[in-house]
Amino acid sequence: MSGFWLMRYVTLSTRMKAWLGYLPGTVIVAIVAPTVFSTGLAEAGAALTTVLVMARTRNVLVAMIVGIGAVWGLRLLQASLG
Amino acid sequence: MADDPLVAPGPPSEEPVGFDVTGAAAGARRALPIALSVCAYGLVFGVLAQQAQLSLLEVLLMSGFVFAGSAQLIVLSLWSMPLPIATILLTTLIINLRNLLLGAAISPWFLRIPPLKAYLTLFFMTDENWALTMGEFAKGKRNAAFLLGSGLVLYVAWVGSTVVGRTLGDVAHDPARFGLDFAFTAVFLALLVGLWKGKSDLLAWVVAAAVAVAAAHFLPGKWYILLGGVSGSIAGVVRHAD
Repeated sequence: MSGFWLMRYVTLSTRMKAWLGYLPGTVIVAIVAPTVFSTGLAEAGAALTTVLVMARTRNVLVAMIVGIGAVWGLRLLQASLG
Repeated sequence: MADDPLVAPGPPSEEPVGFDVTGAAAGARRALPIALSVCAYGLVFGVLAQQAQLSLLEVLLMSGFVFAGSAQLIVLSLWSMPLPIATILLTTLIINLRNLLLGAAISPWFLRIPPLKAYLTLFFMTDENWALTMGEFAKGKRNAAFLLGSGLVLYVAWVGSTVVGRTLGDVAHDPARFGLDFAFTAVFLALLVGLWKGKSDLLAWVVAAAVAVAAAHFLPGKWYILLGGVSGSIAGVVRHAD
């Protein structure tokens, strides 16, 4: 709310607007990056699967369900091989 | 029960006892309401089994072969390590003696169908469908498959619900076991696919990821999110100011 209030009195430069435009994407990338890249192969594989399914179906729910299934399956695989 | 079913008269000796699909279907339909309560019972059993550390396979085998709800619950309460084998066996024996009596009562009808069908059907007998079937015979119906139909419905309900209950017990205790801890990550990744605007995002996102991974390694708490997000955006703006 305070951000909104501030915006009533402040005019943004183009650069600021651009920066704010990048923020949603980079913040979410920052949130998932450690899980995707630093946890393990199962998580990395499941992340890739999720992205591919989303790209194909454009359906967040389906992508999520497939991602969960993928991480479960890959972890089982990892456990039995490791 | 008003009349003692153990002394109900058998069918007149000349009368044939049928065994076909219509009888089975009738039995199945009549068993459905009972199946619901069997499911509730089964779910409870499944959850308790998880707490007693029975594996899913053990639950499946137990439900599949024993099919005696009350016996299973009592055995479960006795299930501790080391297993008190004698006690468990004795308890199961006593409970199943009851089944023996029920089987004896129903035998006048079941002696009139081929033995294979009789034994197969009797495997699926429980208190509930025994009572239903005896009721049917008392009303003059003569289709022994009634017991099979009702028995199958109850069997599926029992085995199914104990397995589901066992699984629920696992999920409640440990979401990571089925990958549910990955749910948030999956949703975020899916959102990212939606947000992607093409090449212009590439540098920003790569920087965000790299900074986040490094920061997560060295800094405590959630600082990595802030650092990653901010540096990624800066990188994006810098790149496009060129």
